[in-house]
Amino acid sequence: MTIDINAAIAAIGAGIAIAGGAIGTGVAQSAIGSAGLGLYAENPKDLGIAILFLVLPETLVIFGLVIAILIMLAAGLV
Amino acid sequence: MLRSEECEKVRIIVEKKDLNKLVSALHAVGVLDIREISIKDTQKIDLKDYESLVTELSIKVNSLLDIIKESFGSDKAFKAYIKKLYIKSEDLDLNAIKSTLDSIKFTRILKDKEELEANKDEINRLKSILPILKTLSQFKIDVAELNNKAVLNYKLVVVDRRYFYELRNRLSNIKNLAAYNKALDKNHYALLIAYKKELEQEVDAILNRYDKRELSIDLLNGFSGSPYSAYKELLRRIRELESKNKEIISKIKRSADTTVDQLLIFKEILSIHQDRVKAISLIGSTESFAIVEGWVPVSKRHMLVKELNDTLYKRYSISNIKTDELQPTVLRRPDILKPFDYFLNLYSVPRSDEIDPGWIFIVSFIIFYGMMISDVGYGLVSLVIAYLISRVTDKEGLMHNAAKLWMISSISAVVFGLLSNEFFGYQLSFLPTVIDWTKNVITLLAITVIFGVIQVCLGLVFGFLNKLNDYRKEADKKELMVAISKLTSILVIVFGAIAVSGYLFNLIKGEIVLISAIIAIVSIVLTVILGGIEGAEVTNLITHPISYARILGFGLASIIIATLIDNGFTPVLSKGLLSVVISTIVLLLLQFLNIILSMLEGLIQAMRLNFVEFFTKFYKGNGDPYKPFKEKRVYTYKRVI
Repeated sequence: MTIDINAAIAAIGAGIAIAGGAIGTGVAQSAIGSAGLGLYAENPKDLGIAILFLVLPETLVIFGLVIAILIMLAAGLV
Repeated sequence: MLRSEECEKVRIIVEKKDLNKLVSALHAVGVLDIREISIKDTQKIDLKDYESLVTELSIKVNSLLDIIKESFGSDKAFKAYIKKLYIKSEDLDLNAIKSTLDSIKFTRILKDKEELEANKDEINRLKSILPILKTLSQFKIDVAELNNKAVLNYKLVVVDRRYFYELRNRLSNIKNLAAYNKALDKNHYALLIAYKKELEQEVDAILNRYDKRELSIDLLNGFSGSPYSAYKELLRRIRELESKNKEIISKIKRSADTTVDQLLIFKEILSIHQDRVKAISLIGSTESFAIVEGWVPVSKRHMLVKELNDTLYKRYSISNIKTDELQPTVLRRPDILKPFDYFLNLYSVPRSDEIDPGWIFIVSFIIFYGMMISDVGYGLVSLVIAYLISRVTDKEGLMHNAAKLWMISSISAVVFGLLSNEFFGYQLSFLPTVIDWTKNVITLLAITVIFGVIQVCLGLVFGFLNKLNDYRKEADKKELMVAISKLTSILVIVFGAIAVSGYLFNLIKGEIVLISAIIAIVSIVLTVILGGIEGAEVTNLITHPISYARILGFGLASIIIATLIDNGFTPVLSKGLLSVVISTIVLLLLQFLNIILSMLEGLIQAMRLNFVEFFTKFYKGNGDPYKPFKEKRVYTYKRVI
């Protein structure tokens, strides 16, 4: 079996793009989540706002996904 | 459709003697949102007796219901009991309610509760004595002697082993003092100190130097004999009181059959009166007239006039008030779509002078959720799960409304599932696959980003219209500049998208790409200059449409996980019966887990795309919701006179 080194590097790059976004999202959400629960404990009516702030950093992983797709597209993997 | 329904502010004037009839008519028709009277020289209506009677009766009814509910052990059991009752009654007046509440069957419940609480206090008091007697039982002493303070005082302390010897030595140096000690366990000692009254201060001074727990001997007043026999007697008394309380609780529970239906009726009638008290407190009066002001939707004004005619036989006047006040927000949507309004209001109620994004939120939510699930099986199972959740949750609560959203949106998940030919991750060979998530990634990415471009541009158009409206009202040039910056923002997105897609995918000629890029860059500069502080959000014009790629991301993830579960755990008969059973259980569990995750993600992400990416372009919120003065009756009906 022969492996195209360019395709392999592109696949690794796509993986890193997703992983970076996911780690960033996780770090941000851990802090926001705990603060959000604190807010909810103080005032249960603020649950909506707490969830809203919690989901904001998920954009990072979506950017990672888009970059990954673009890398794979450039490498002819998709 | 995209605006709040138009309202009129009206003023109704009646003779003071007709006030009750007016309030009753307004309450029954339920279309007027009563507001504080705006005429300065009017007086408030004296509500003292009425208000205090309603409050007194409400407190009594609520406490009686609480007592009975407590006897059921849990809210759930009490609710289940109420559900079985058939309750219907005509309206009752407050005096009738008062005299019924004073009857023996209700006063007995209150007395039982008093006895129950007294017994509980006594049990707690006795339980606090138990550890003292238990500690004292180490010593050979008559408990009655400890309370005889004619000559000697006593103290009982529990000391840590580390300080015990030092403390005992210090105490032994005092004349006319005897200290007896017993080891309670490895680390603690009990010390019973007997001393002459006059040594009190000296003993306290020594004891205060050490970390110890003092057990109050004064609590033993009335006990006699050996500490162990007193301990046994105490336990017997506690058990006796506890069984007495059990009897009282079951007696209260038995009384529910003859009282709960009446109490629920009273509660409903009193809540209607509480609403009336609140409404009357907003009404103004002169020497002979009462004046009510409030907002009524234009489409419902005729209902108000008809009810007033029927009740007051034209002995009233109604007129429109010209005002600059912002009218309340009236959102008209079918009941089935109310859960969407619940979440919209959770974010913020739209103002009446801005565009109501509710309908776009509803349509886009259903599409985005459906795309993110895109599986017929998942759609159907989520429908069943959501239905079950809606059955067991509180109707006003978050989970109930979320369940309703899932139910409505699951239909869209089934439709997208059919288009994707996905059935729990399996594809049926006889069905065409219109959307192939794994093979058409780029096309789907483009489609989702186009969704983003459309919705974000729509948000900017709404923002432009809102700002233009503000400019018309306030004639502030800043508002006009911001309004124009919304238009240049649209140019940034549209031409930016053309330039980027043309550059990346070679779909458009080079010259068009270049021109688009130039227009986009110029528009960015204009947006920053015109938008002021809002112009600083120019980066969001790029990130927000891309954010819609999450629809592809979550849809793809849901489908791939479902397929992986199928590939790994589809039962194969040739591997034996045990393997089939285990594979089936694991397959079902993992698919169920994926369904729950997909439901949660679908709900949160579809909502987030609307609230973060769409609403931030135009939405002000903080509106004043229309709250009509309306009777809420479940168990009662109006008395026909």
